[in-house]
Amino acid sequence: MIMVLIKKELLTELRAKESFVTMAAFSMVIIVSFAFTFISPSGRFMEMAPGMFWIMVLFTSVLGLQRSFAYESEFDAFSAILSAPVDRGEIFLAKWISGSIVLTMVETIAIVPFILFLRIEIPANLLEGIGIIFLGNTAIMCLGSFLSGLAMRSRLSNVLVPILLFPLLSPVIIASVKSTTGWVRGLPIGVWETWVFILVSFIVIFGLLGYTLFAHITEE
Amino acid sequence: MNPFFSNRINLFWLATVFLLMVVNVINIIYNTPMVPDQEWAQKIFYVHVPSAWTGFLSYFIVMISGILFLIKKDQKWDRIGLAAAEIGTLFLALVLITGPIWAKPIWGRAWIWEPRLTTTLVLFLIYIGYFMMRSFSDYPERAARTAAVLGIIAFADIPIIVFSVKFWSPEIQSHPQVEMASQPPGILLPFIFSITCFSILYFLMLRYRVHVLKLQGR
Repeated sequence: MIMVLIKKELLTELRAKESFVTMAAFSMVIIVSFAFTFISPSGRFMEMAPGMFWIMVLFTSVLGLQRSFAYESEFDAFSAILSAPVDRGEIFLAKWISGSIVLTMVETIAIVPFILFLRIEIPANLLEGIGIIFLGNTAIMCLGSFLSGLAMRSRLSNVLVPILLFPLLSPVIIASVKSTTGWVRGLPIGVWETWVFILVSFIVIFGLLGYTLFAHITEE
Repeated sequence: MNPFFSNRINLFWLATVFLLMVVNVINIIYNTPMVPDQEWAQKIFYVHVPSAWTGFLSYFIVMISGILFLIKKDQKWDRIGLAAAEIGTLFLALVLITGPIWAKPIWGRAWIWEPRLTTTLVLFLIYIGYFMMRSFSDYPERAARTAAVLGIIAFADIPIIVFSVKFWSPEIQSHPQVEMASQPPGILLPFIFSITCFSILYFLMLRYRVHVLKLQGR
């Protein structure tokens, strides 16, 4: 059943392309703003690059999260989903997984201008970098999808999502930036593995909590 | 007289808390030793740390009452959770005010991203969101449910925040971390007394706020 839900989420996005296009455009705007703000004679952004990258991801993900439950609340389709014979925790899992896929697709496009405009050297061992980005995306979308569902039926839900999300995500922001910095500087994984451990712990804890508690926030 | 305090037991606790707090303040001013280099600035420690203890205890109660509300669906647990969140945030605000007052003469700067203060600030921001969430909900039943869930999520996040903030940036947190166990008895005993006074004050405030929320029909 979960595969059907993920397919539904991705098909909806593929047809409308609302989240994807707005997120990709917004990430470009952020990159250009970074270039205008932090440009220096040396033109080297390597010191700040991990921080800038994750700020871009965080702000871009908020745009996607604001649209995450938009269809359901606008057309009251959520009541229909709830009446389907499906575990409500699986609805959360589908939102989480599809959100992570869309965010990764946006990043795949945004990383090109990020490297090009900010003149960033591509570090060796790309596999480590892909792993960090995967964990960071998964952690952000895990809590983000849950909070998006939590705020869905509130007034000003668009405002509430970032206000709730950013402080709760502070360990993810720190851990993602720290591990990316370790990777960019070419440090051995043993030096920054603690941060990877924090990201994995966050995903496990909030994944389980989200799956368990989602039924309570969707009660009619 | 306020109906809450027309109850003799509540009145007894009000008088006890008042007396204990007066004794606590006198004790802090006259009986605690002056710490070299810190002098009077260190006295705020007897208010700062008990406030932090009370704030974190309060958020623990928010989580417990959130779990109980989701299981039992009894409005009593929602009232306790809301009251604990309000009072906890009040005490954390006190921590965020007294922390920089203590830090300025000791470390030369009011804010240096000290791990415990940073964790407190993050929690304070989470609970600002908690209150906004409650106030932006049109249906009280739904607001109670989302608040209960948020209380659980926020408390589950605390150990991860503490851990990540502690190792976040050692180069800007290079001040000595004092452990309570290593404090001399002249400091430790008044500190324990102060923490007891704050805890009793907290439970009286919690009882009072729950009573008021019940009268308001929440």
